[in-house]
Amino acid sequence: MRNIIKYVAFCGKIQVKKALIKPFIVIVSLLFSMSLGIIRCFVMKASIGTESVDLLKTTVLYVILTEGLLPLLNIWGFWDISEVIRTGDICIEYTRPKTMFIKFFANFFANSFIQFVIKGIPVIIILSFIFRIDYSICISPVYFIISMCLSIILSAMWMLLLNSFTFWINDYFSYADVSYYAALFGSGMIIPLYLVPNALGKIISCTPFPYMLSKPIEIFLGQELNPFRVLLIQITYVIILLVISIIFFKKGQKRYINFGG
Amino acid sequence: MKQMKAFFFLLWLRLKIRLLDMRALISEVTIHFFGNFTAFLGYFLIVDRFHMIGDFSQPQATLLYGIVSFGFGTAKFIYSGLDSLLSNIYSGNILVYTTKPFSPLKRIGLENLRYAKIGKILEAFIVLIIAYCTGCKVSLFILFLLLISSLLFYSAVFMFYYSFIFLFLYYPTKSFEMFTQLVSGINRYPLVIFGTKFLKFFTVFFPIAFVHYLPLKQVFNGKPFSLSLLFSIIVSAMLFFITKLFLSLSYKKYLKNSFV
Repeated sequence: MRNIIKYVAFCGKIQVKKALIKPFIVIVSLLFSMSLGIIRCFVMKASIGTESVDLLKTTVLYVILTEGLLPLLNIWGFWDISEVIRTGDICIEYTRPKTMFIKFFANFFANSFIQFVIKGIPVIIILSFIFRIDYSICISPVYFIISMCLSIILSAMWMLLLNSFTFWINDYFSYADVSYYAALFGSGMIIPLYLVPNALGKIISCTPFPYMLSKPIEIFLGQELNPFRVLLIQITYVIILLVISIIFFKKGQKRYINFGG
Repeated sequence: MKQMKAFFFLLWLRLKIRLLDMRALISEVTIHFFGNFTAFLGYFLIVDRFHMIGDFSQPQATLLYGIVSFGFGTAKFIYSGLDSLLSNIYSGNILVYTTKPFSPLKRIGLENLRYAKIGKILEAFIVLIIAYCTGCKVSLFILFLLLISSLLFYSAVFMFYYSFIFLFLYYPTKSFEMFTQLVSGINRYPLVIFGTKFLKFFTVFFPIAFVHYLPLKQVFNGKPFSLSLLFSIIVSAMLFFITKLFLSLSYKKYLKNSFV
């Protein structure tokens, strides 16, 4: 256990170095996500503005939180395993002392944390300042933090499952885009899920995506009346995705052929 | 004439090669289409729920979105092949291209056409159809002018950036992509939603309001062939030709300094 914690810390160090190797890109991407957040807030303000003040307040805060918390999820992709399968370096991975799963999760969580610190926190602070957000409307911060931790694990499981598909579809870029857009829409990044028409909302709620970002924020804003139910669903999804991805991974390993057998 | 013939022959040849792997092409285009359409769907659902956004109604906002998508998507389809200019410069291939019958820029652009972006253009057409189905009343001729103006504007943006490759032998790919996405992202919405200060900024200092928002607003106000529409086309065309000149001048400057 101690060794694993040391390994996670080591991966964290590498991720920090990776992130800071090009400070210009970090600044540009921070400005980009901030600008996107501002545009989304203005769009919401312009559309809801005259309808209801409470709805507007909640929605602007929802938009800011989604923009700030998104880096935690690595939703645009974490394809470490896919890359080693595609290039054939997976054979080298088997010779390493730590399993590929531990390496994947260590890198994933370390990257999430670093991206959140570099991008997420500044975006939340600056946008809250620009739009003069009143955080007194928020409730259940404890449930929110627990739910957010679970949603990071859920996102990691989802990415692990997608990574294991590379054993069958070598060109993972093709489904990476599909999964990215599905996750973006389903997690409420494009439109808050409580504004989606009922029928579409019901379809989306059958997928794990709303439990990655939208539901934790809804708990925080007091829109989700039963936070315990959300936590339970998140845990169920984590277990299901973990089991499926392990099955896929094991089956993929069996059919994998490279130089040397 | 000979050059034109060679150009179209190469275009036909490249297309034929790409069509050999039909399945990959279709899947690329489909993925791109659905990705872009998802983003539009979110916007459409919001505007549909609240009926208005800024001073535009739902069909008007959808039309604006479609026009920007068309201009941006088509410019990306044509020009983003020039992303490989820098690698061509470093490998020395660009000097080999100078011996060919037409300009290396045309050749590199042609060889690297981003066929996946057809999905984006397809999305733009579907958005435009939705705009007309939901009750947009803009004549097709004016729509055509607006599409041309949009295409010229985004082509100018792309060419301006590519000229930096020759001038500085450096190309900030990621930041450039973010910038173009941001410009098209802002343009997709009626600029009045950003408030009067931002509207002033987009009219005076960074005049993108003249390209889409102001001409469309005049058209929707019942002036079918307004001054701002003409102004938009002239501004976009001027930008296009200036940046084209800038690109070819920077290319010539690069050739002068290289060992040909």
